[in-house]
This record gives sequence, structure tokens and C-alpha cells, in this order.
Amino acid sequence: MHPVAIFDFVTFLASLAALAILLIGWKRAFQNETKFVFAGTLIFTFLYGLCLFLEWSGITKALETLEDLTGALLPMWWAFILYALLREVAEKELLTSEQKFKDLTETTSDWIWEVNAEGVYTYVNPKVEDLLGYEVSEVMGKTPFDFMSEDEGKRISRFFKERVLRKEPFFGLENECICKDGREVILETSGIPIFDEQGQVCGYRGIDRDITERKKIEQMKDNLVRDVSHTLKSPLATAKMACDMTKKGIESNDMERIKSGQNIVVNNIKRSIHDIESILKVSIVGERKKIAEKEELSLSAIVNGIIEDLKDSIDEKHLDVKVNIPEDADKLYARRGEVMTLLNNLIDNSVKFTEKGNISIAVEPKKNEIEIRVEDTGCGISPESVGKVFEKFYKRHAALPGMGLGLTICKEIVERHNGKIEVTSKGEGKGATVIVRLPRLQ
Amino acid sequence: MLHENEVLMFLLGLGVLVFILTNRLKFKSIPASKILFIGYLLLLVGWFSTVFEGYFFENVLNYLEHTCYAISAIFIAVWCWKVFGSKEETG
Repeated sequence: MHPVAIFDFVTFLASLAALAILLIGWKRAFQNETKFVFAGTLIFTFLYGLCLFLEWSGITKALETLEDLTGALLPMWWAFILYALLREVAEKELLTSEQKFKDLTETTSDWIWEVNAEGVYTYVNPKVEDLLGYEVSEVMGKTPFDFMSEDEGKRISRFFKERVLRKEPFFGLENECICKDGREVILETSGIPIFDEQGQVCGYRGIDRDITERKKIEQMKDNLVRDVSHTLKSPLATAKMACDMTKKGIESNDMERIKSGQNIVVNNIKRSIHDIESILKVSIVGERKKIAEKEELSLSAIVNGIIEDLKDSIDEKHLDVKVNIPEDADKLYARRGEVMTLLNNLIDNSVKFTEKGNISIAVEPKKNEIEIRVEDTGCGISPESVGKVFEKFYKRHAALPGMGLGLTICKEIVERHNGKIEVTSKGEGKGATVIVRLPRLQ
Repeated sequence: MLHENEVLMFLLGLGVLVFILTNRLKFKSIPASKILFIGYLLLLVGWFSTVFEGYFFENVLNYLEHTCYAISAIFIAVWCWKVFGSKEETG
């Protein structure tokens, strides 16, 4: 026996072992067709090893033809098995990649889409349901312009056609879409062109982001700058005029003029301080900073103090202010500063928006809470505005006094005390009522 | 002495090696690909030896051929063990 026969025997045994492992663990990896090819490769290796062993061990040379045949076909088997393995790996990677894409598109907060060169949707992710309220199937086959008003559709269609002609991407295109329920949303759209083999644009792929809230905040910021500038400017301008008046009074030694000028200056400085404090309070209350300890308060003392502070305005308008705080409803366990701000804002609002008639401040004890009711016969609120009065910087008319922060602050304070606040009005010119319910003891 | 079938076997084997090298990135994604590659490379060395043993170092190349076949078969068995012998189902 030639010594190499031992190696051939090892080849035969190892191939047989490999085949056995493959058959035992058949279900553990790869698709059946790949495993069949691999089994074929192992059978040929094992036959080749067997033929070599029989030949070199001197047992028989009768299998020489089989040895030549199996040996010659072995590389082909290897070519098949490697091809099958690579194909399966590539398929698996593709599936993984598709799954990753699917996971990303289905969990992202943006609307991902694909359109053809005519702008017809060929793919949309499920986010469209949250954004526009339409099902994916309702959007597929339509164009973005179908979800816009006529004018907006024309504008965006023109823009899109230009981009297709120029083969250019676009970023941050703002457009207004109409939701299924009729709401208007502002979307920010970005897209990149998809090219065919000839280099022609065959579509676009991109994302839409809902920026309605952002635009609203931007608008609020603009309004804030305008209102703050206006609110702070007018008392300063009045104070400047009063200073001139005082100066002239000093020159002419007219004490009445000096006193009057001084009063105007003081009042306008107070007004400015009040406005600035309002802005700061919104910030402090909103951020929940500087939370003071609760204490037992006397509502009648606070209300009377506020009325005393507002006496000039009340007298000027000849308003009849009625206060009804029964003794058993007088005590409240709350944060003094916040309750003072709350009541001051409510009563001040009533005084500000009531030109004639009366204001009623009533406190009523309930089971575990007290109800504070501030009622006036002032300019009232239209039904469509009632829901907006607690929004920051909301003013029914730009010409109205104040910054539109009073009720926002009130709502924050009431909610911090686990209470409730509501505003009712029968309409413009018919007065308004603010009802605050606060827990008595905590 | 030149045997056509051995030359054909070697040339086909070289072709498969070229195929592996051109797809090396994808090849790396095959589980335990290094073991499989070494197993195949040894097989190719065996085929090389069987072609050239007729021209020089007949005895040495003959030993090399049979040794390479044996070690290659062991590597392939190890690869099978790693892929099909593990307890977790991967397919």
C-alpha cells in the first residue's frame, strides 16, 4: 500500500463526515436547493477520495474511470455550490435591506414618498395617514396637487415641472395641503430626482414634514415682537409727553401741570412694569420655576386689595363692582403670589373690557372646592373666540389693550393648583364670565 | 505525462477561484467563509500538483496532492460542522 493511500482514506472519511453533518443538520441553514448542490459536491468528493484510496492502496484499479469522471466534475460542483451560496447570501442581504428600509419608513415621523415624472405617487409610507388622514391606497395613483387648493396646486405643479426639466433636487418647499377632514396643513417638501438608464428624470423621491405648528409659532413670535414693541412703546411715548408737560409746568411754575404730568409718568411706568411682569410670569409659570409654598389665604382681603389698586380705572368708567365672598368660602390654601396674579388678571380684564355697567366677583363654596366667578357686562367674546382665549398672545383684535397673556397665565396657575378654569360669553357686547374652581385644602 | 482531464479540472478550478475573488465581498457574507475558502484553495493546490507532477518533483507533488485533498476535506467537514452542526437554526 502506497503511503498516500492514508491521505485518500482521510479524504474519503472527512467527506463522509461532512455529508453526515449536512444531513443531520439539514434544517439548520440555507435553502434546500443550495443544500442539494452542496450534498452533490460532498458525494463527488467522497467518491473521488474512495477511488483514489482503492487505487493507491492497491485494492483495485477498476474504478479509474469513475475517479477521472468525479475528479473532472468536482470543480463544476464547486462552481455551482459557490454560486448557490453567494446567491442565497445576496438574497438574504436584500431581504434584510428591504426590512431595514421598511422599518425606517414605517416608523419615521416624516411622510416618505416616490412619484413618477408626471408627479403620480408610486410609493407612500403609512405616515400619510397621520398627516393627511388618507389611507395609503387613497393616495397611491394621485398627485400631490390633488391634495391642494386649486391655486396652490397650480403653483406647486409649475414648480415641479420646472425642477423635472432642470433635473434638479429641491429642498424645504413649503406648500399647503388639505386633509381628508378639510383641515389645512403646511408641509415642507424635499425631493431628489430619480434617473433612468438614459439619464432622464423618471420620478422623484423625497419626504414631507408637517410644519403647521412651527409656522404657527413663527407667527406667534412675529405677533409677540409686534405686540411687545407696541405695548412697551405707547406708555413710554405718553410718559415722554408728560415729562414735556412737567417741564413746561416747572417753567411756568404751574403746580397743577407738574402734578398731572408726574401722575401720568408714574401711571405709565406702572403700566410698563405690569406688562413686563406679565411677560416674565408667562415664562416663569410656563417653565414651572420658583414654586412657592402654599399657605392659607383670605380671598376677600386679596380681592379688596386688587379693587383698591384698580380704583382709578373703576371710578373713571363709573363701574359698579359687587363683591360677594361669604365667610365660609373666604379661606383658600394656595400660593399667595399666584392667586393674587390670578385674581388681579381676571378683575383687571373685566375692568379693561367693560366700558359701562357692572362687575361681579362672587365666591361660592362647593364640596371640596371653591368656585370663583368674575362676571362683567363688557364687550364679551364671540363663540368662535371662546376656545382661543387661553392661547398665548391671543387677542381678538390687535387694537385691544394688553398683550394677550392674562388668561394664559391664569390657566397655568389654576392648573398648577389642580383646578379648572372656563370662560363663557353670550357673544360680543354681551359680557363674559370667568369661572375658576380651586381645591380648598391640599 | 499530461492528462487532459486533470488539466481541465485545474483550469475549471482556477475559474472558480477567479469567481470567488471577483465576488470576495459577497463571499465574506457566507458563514465561516475563511474555512470554506481555505478548503477550496487546498483543493486547487491538489489539482495544481496533479497536473504538474508529470513534469517535475513527481514524488513531492504527488504527496502534496493527496495531502491537500485530505486537509481540504477536513476543512470542509469543519465548515459543515460550523454551519449545520450548531444548535441554533440559522436558515
